[in-house]
Amino acid sequence: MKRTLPFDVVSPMTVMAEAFREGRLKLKKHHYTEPVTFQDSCNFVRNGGNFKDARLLMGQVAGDFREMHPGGVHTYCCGSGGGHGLMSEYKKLRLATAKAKAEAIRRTGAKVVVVACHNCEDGIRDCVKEYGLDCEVHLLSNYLAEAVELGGAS
Amino acid sequence: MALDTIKISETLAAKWGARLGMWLEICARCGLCAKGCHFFQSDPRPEHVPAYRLKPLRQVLAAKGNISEADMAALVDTVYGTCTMCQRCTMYCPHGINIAFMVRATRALAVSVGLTPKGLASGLANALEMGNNLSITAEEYQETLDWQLEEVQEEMPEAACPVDQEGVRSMVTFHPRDIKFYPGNLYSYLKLYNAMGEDFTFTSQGWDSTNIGLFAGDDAAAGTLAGRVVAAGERLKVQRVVTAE
Repeated sequence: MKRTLPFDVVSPMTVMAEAFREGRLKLKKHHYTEPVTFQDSCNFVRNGGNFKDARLLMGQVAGDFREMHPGGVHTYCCGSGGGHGLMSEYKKLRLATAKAKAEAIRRTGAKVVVVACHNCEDGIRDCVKEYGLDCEVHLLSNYLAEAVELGGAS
Repeated sequence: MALDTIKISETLAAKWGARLGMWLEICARCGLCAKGCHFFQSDPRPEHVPAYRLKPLRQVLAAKGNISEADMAALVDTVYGTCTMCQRCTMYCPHGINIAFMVRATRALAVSVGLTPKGLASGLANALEMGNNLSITAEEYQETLDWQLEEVQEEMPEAACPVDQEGVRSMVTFHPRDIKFYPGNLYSYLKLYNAMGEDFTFTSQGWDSTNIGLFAGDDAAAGTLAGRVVAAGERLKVQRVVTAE
């Protein structure tokens, strides 16, 4: 039987975007200059419908943001979803089938891929390594934390 | 070792429902789902067409659960090895068939006879036994929080790291790797939540919001793991629970 929870369940992206909209979270405008793209996660974006929050935050801190195609609800899985990050028995196949994702990243020309999901972090790291992409991979929280404007309400 | 086919039949019966039956019935094998799948797009083989992943389920149904060990091994390879349950194929299906849903139902059959792939099974065992999938102890957890708070305080002297605070707005949970392998992530969370003035707390219980039971297709375990996070949120009377990134 379905149970009603006495609280809401939200993703960190939503919490940060909300604080940014309300002016509570100050982030340095275009703190980063290198080309960067964002990995939409299947759970947060395709199933959670949470597309705009990441754009709002990335648009603020990234001077050269590039959309991945396919992206949004059409995003390809990072390859590490559904428990694949933990099943070494299928790693070879997982890397072989990360090709579509690798090409999508390569087409953006980005030097950084920001991810907002730990599974994606592993999946994209493996993908970047396997296909020799010249990209760093960063977790959204880490990417934003470095761009936080501290000290007074500026 | 022979398979416990009774267990398979029972699990299948428990999983069975109108939705599942209808989807199996209406799949026309048109193959449009192939366009949606990164397995097929990267490596176009017939076994990588999402509709193919329904084959083991059909087989089990036709045999009324009485399938051979070889067929069961093939089932495991198909539903665990060739699908990340990302649900992209569903968007390309003219009927909107949720293949991931059925893959998960089929995974449950493997779980019922103890054939969960090793990596998933061991992470799941850790999570059930230790409260988090990396077997982090309560001491390790608290020490890491204290350590990262000190680091953050060098930059933000007023920063705080509340644990088990009742009645606040947000209870923030983690992936165990934030504690064990990437404490720098924790640093970032503390910095962000303090900077935005969020009324938040961490929790000493139920802080791992990952759910390997859900991946494995083990409903009982998935319920236990999710239940711990729910219990923590209820105990602390928070307005919202923030999931792991």
